[in-house]
Amino acid sequence: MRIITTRRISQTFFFLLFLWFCAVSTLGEQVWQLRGWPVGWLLELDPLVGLGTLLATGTLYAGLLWGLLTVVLTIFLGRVFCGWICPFGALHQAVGWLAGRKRSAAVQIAANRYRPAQRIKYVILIFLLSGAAGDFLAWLLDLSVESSIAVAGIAAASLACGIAAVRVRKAFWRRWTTVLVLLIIGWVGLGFLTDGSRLLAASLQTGLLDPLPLFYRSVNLTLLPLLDGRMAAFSSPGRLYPGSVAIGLLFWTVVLLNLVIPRFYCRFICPLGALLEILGRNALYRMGQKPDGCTACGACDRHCEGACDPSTTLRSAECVLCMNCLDRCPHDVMGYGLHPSAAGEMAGPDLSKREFTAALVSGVAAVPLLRLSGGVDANWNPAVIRPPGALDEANFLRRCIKCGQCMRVCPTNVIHPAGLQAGIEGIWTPVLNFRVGTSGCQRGCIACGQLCPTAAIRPIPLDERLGRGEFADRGPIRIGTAFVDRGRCLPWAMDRPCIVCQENCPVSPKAIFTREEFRPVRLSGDLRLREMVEDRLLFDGPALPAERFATGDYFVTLEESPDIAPVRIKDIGSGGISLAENPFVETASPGARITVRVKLQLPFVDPSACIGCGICEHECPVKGRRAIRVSAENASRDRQHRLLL
Amino acid sequence: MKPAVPKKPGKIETRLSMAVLAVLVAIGVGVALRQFRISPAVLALRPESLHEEAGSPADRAPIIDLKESGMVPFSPPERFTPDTLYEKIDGRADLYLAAGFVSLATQRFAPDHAHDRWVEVFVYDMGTQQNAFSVFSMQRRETARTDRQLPNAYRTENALFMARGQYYLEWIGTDGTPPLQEQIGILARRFSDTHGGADAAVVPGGRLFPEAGLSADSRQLITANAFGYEQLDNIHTAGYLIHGVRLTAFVSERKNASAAAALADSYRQTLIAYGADAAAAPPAVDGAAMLQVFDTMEIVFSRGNYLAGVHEATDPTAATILAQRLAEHLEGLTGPHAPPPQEIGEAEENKEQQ
Ligand code: SF4
Repeated sequence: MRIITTRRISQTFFFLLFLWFCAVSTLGEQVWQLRGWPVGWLLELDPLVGLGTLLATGTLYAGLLWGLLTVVLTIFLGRVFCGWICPFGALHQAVGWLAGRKRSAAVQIAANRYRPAQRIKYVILIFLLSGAAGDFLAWLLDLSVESSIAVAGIAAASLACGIAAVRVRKAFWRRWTTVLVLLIIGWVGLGFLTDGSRLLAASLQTGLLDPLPLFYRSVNLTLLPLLDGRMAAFSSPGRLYPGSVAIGLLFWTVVLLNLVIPRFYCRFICPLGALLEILGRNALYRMGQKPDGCTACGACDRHCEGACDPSTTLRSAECVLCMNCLDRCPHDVMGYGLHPSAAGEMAGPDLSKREFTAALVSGVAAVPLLRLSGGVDANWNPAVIRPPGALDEANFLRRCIKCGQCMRVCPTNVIHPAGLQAGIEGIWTPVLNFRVGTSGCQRGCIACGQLCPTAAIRPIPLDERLGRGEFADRGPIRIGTAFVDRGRCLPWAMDRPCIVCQENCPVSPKAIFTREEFRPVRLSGDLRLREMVEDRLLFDGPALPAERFATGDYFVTLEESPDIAPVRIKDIGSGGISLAENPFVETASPGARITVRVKLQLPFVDPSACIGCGICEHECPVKGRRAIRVSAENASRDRQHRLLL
Repeated sequence: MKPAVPKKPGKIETRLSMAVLAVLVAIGVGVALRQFRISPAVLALRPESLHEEAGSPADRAPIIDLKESGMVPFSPPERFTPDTLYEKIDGRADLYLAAGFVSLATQRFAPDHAHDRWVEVFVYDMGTQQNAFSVFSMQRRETARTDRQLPNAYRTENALFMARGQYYLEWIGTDGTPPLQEQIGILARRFSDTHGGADAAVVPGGRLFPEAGLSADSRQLITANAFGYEQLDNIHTAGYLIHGVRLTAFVSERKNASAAAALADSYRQTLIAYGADAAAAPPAVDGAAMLQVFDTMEIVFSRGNYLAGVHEATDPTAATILAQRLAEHLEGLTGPHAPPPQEIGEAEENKEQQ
């Protein structure tokens, strides 16, 4: 069997596997639902996810160890992940091939030649990783002044380097030792000047462009919701994700760029590709020319997916192991083995020092600059409600790769990609929106934490969510607290009875309770008692519509009988009110003023019982901006913003 | 893409290919095996996870007799009172509470050894046969089909709904596959047999309506506040198709003839108070009033102990025909040749039994 056929089978296999994983990320026990499918496995295989979270947090979440497999494969075999496994790469390859089929050989060769702009992906990678490394750098700075062993070591190393710089003759080594000494001085100096808390901070933004989170996010949030239909629904009911336009636009742009240059994304943008290039630049096995026989016919360049110039000085780091050159070479010159390419090769990446430093410094500086807005501290946005189990905001931003897994699996569709409400750092991270979806956040659901590949949302057990068993002392996990907007609430602001929020509150005892109040109803004129016939009061005054006042929520009091509690109206007919009972018989006289009162149950929230599930907000009949809304105050994940002692 | 010069793959290439394919197969098998390790996210959905008293479902007696059904308990039984009903059914609790809800028992059952399909049964004790029929009829689904083997029951794609005596039952399956639906049928019949059999399946007020033009399965019983008017309680309604026009007839048995006449009058007065006008040509039914309410007609009259009429008719001619048939039918029930009351007034009878 030809190796190229095998490669295509492999790509198809992983592409279908990826689609299957997206499709089955639907909560349920059917075979086509979540069950135990390892839906995040391809994300776990992505070493950029592991490296990013490792730099940002200093820890590696167990599942991400799969990334080591990719690393090892790349070190030995080259970018086999890009050419054989990556489902996004497979999509690009397929679209690029479709677009270029009819093009002449010369045009295809031109499209596949190496371009210096391919270095941009390294800049992107360095920028993103250095943004994630802020805390790691802060730790290093602290180390330079806080650990006596480190200080002694630094002093000794500086001394040794200083002596070496004076004694070493070779200019090259002298330059390097000088640089090292300067770095150490800078390190110690900075360590003394700052505690690192403001100058350095970490935020994981790799997921914006990392191909696997990008592809998962795009399929989960923009493609599958479009395919949901009556016959085959991937989730019930149809999904809505405000802000999916931007996600979809990015996706379609990078896919359609293949019409211009095949594998545009892989060649110019992909930070994972850049990382694998660095890892695989000296791969043990690599593509290359055999010593004799090349006629420079260009057949290999014509179908090269990596734009790595296989016919001349081969840029081995750019090679995605598509094996097209091996297959297409009419003279059997191309091979895959341990030997360097006969026509010469360049390991790459050929990034200048200046480019490297600019990317590094801007990445390191970007996060603290963003944090100056105080979005994770004093100026945090209480509308940013994170799913249950989410880490505190700063740690959350160190882990979330914006893959959208939590949004896809959420059974009620309340988890949405953030726009700018969580700051630029938080774009496309999960936030809860209780207006959309089928309900609030379900008490018995722990799905998002189970699917989150980086533990930005911890995988909490159900007992912890509900605050029972060994977690009973801590109480249930709160994601926020509901607040009644008295200016919009029907009973509070408009004298209309409504207890929908209280009825729907799912906790026991209920976090929403009501206090009763009888308020006089505004009528277009005075009601005066004319006559009383058993339970019926006949009156003079404006006509009262029965459909409003005979619903059981309306009561009557008589001015002359102030001590008698309001009596319920049973029925209203022409000129008369029937009461449930008539205690006014002895006290009232004709001409007495009748006041119609509405019994209102005014809702209040008990913050010690409210878990912020948002069901009240979802059900509130005030449909625009709800009259009861959950905000992130008092969420368990952030003790800074708690309401209660 | 075909190679420029067709090449025969070498041995190493073929072996490598085979090795890669073997790895792919292994990955496929691994992934397939993984799906048997059910995710905690999915396990949390199982009812036994949510309720603290979870234990072996077998610990407590199931709420349904499972003999020969091929089903086993899949969750422990749960019970809800009027105070806790909302915990189980959220926003719909009001409907049941208003109709006299007493208690709810629920439990899931699964075909032996199946873990991905089950049926959840909801047994609502509504206190009386009348209340049970009321919630049954008021919630009838759009997609309902009558169950041929069970009287007073209907099915949707994956569920069965029925009223038996004072109980209203919902059997909701995880899917609509025939074996599961058949097992639901077996359980439902067993429940029916052990809870009064055919007698308990009688539709309250079954003979209040004339047969001609009656739409099958259109009967409803509104226990309170019918048509938005509080005094109209225990109103039976039925759908009719007359000359291609859909109509709704209503009948309610009252204490005596004068109560029926007074209620007819007060309903008419109320409609007038809301702005209804007397229709130009009153129907040829003794003592009946036809009122124009916006763009629909309401016919109201009484016959003996019965208040009756036609609700929100869009066609006066068809409505008049129906009113005439209804009046004649009710005269037959109240006249000298009327059948004994126990056959006609199950609703009233039930009320007395309470
Ligand atoms: S929180 Fe959601 S979007 Fe972020 S990494 Fe976890 S699953 Fe992906």
